[in-house]
Amino acid sequence: MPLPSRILAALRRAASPGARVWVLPNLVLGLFAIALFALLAVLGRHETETRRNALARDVQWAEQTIRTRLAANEDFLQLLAKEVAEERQDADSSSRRAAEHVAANPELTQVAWIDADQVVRWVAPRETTAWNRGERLSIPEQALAFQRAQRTGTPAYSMPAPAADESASIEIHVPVFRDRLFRGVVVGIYAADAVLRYLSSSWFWNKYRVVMETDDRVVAANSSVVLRTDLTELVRLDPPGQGLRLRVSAFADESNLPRDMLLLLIIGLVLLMGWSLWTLSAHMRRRLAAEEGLRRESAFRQAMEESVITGLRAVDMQGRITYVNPAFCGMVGWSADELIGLVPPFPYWPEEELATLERVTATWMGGQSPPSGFEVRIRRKTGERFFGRMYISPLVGADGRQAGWMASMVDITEQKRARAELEASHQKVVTAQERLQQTSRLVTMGEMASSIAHELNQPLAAIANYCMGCVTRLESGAFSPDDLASAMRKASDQAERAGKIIRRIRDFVKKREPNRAPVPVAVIVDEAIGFAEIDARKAGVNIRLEVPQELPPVFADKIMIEQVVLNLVKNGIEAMHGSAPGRRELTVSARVDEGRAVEVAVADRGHGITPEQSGRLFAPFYTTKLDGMGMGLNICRSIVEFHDGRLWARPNDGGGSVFVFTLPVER
Amino acid sequence: MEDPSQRVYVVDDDEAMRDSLVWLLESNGFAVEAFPSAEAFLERWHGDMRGCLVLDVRMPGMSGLELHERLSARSAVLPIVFVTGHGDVPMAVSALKKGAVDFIEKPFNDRDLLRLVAGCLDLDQTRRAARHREEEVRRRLGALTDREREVMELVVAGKLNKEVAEALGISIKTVEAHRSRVMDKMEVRSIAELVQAVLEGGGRTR
Repeated sequence: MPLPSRILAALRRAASPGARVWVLPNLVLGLFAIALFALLAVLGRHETETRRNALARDVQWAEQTIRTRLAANEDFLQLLAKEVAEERQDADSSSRRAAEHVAANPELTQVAWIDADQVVRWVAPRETTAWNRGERLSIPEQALAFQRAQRTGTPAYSMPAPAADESASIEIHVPVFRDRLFRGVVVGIYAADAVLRYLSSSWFWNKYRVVMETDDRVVAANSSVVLRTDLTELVRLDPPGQGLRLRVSAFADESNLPRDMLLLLIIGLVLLMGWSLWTLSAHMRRRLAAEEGLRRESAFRQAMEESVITGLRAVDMQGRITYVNPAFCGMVGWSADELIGLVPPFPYWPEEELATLERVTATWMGGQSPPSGFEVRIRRKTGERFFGRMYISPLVGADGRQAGWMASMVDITEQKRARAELEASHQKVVTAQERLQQTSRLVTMGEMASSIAHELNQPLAAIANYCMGCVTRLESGAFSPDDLASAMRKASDQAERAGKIIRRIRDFVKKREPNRAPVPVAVIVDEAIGFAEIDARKAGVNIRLEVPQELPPVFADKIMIEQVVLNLVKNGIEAMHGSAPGRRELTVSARVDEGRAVEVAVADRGHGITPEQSGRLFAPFYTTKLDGMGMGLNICRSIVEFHDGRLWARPNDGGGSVFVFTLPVER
Repeated sequence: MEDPSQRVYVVDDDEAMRDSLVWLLESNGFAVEAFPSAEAFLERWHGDMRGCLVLDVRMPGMSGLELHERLSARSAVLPIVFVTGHGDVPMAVSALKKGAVDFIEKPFNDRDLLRLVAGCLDLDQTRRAARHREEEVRRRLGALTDREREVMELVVAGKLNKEVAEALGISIKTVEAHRSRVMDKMEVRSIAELVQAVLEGGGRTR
């Protein structure tokens, strides 16, 4: 991932509310750690300062002590020197006093009297390998100090010199004058380590590493451990001077242990806090993820519930509504707030169905719900009724116990309507087929006629033959009565046969038998209008007649043609439903068409016929009316054509349409 | 003038019609034979049948028109009266064009039918006589030799003996001898009779 986008992602994460929550705790934790470490540092520094101060004080004190003791020893040695000079005491007594002093001051190892020739005259408390009576001073440092004391006339310290037992020693040479003559020196010999040991107290000794050193070497030390610490004080020792100084370093403080523990504890606690924060954040993240999942799930369920078209309703064990979904509310028209908490009878139960619905409710609450559901009539808030199919199932809670019932409802009004329509249209087709059959009977009459005639001709011709045969025989006189009787019986049988044929034909064509005869068009039109007048008045239609009396009679079945005219007139009246009242005029006119036919026209001022309608106008089952069968014009055309006429439609000048048919005049 | 060998053959599928026709025709002195179908008649038919056929046009199976066509194909000469029902007139007209004698529409007047039948029987007799003469001429013509026939054709065509002799490359005497034998064999006494005989024989000489 390229860096900029990683930063962007981090920013996005940081900007997200979940991350922002964690900024403060993390910040606080960091600040807490920083403050603690700062505090520790300050404390540490403070402690160091304190220790440094203590060290300085201690060192000062030690130096003071050493100086005081050295000064005290110096005073004693000067006194002793005076004694020696004045020779008030003998050598023994001086050395004895020196020995006593050495015993009381352990830093001093020896005191010696050295004459001007640098010869040791006595050593107290006793001689040692380095100091023997009668010997001369052999060590350069001794000689230097001797000469300095002699020259200056004041006590002089020697440079530390390694003693015979390897421990360094420092000598003080106190000059002895008598009568302004230099007589020698009284020498106090310090063992350097004894100086350190006895001139500082044991706590100091334990607390610090104390080193006596010159510029180039260590003279004495209380510990050989070299400490790496900045907590060190240097102090010049003057006396004895000679570049001698004390280096004091603090030993590692055992009291640091609790402080380190504290530090560790703090680090541990911070880490622990960090870890717990991280754990908490991980836990929160998991919670958030779970929450998000839950939210999505719940949103999905919500969306599902709202988009489902099945109405859902939950009731508790008492039948109280506990839940309805939007589809249910949409069906009944009451809102969820209005419905929840209601008990039967519910407001959407129509009054007329109360008893039925109570019974149905009792049935499913008794646990008997048919899998095919119940068909129920439901009342909308508007008062409108609709048919619903309701399926009931037990509502089982998370604890496995039944908490109520769940009902799902589907609006089956449309289904029922469609089914009813289907049945109606089926019925319509059946009716139309019956009518069509009658019509087709009518239409095929022409074809029927010849076969009927042929069938009837047989018996008729036979009868004529029998009769004429009899007549011939009777006239000729050559006959036997038996022959004649037989022939006459046969003739009679044939007459009966003819009667049967006629009955059969009448049964076949029944009421639809056309009866063509010369009939005046005016009569047909008048009678047809008579039937339509009630409809016309109801529809506010004015019917105008333009049928001249002098028209030749047409050769037609009066009833059938009346039906044609009535049909066309009624169509015209219906077509003018939408027309302005003043325009609702229907004109029925008739005229002679080329002398051989009469043309009858029914003209309305209705909605007219569109070109696409005109193509199918006479097709069976085609209708533009809501309750039409689509058979009227079809039958009309059949009837007219049966009469050797034509039926057609054309637009009316100035709006509406004209239906025209022709009928042949009497032949 | 009626020939006792003549019969009226009635073919009709309708039993009443058939029976009543037989009754009517017998009442008027005709010898009648009836058949219930065209097939039944055809089975019985032979060339020597004399009389006429009263035939129903509409019959199940073979129709009257079909029977008429079959008979024509067999050179039958029986005159036919078609009995038609209503609306069968066009059918009858086509039958007439094919050589039927007449048709009568049911129901019919008995006089009309009887007149038609009588006419048909006369026609049958006339036709039969003509047929008889024609057959006689054919029989005589059959007796002629090739040379005699050649001579006869030229003589009938109006040629003189001399012209015949020139045309055939034979002598006049020989022509005369042939001509005499032709007259004998044809049983005629004059050229006029010879010409008539040849015409009665269908105009054909062989």
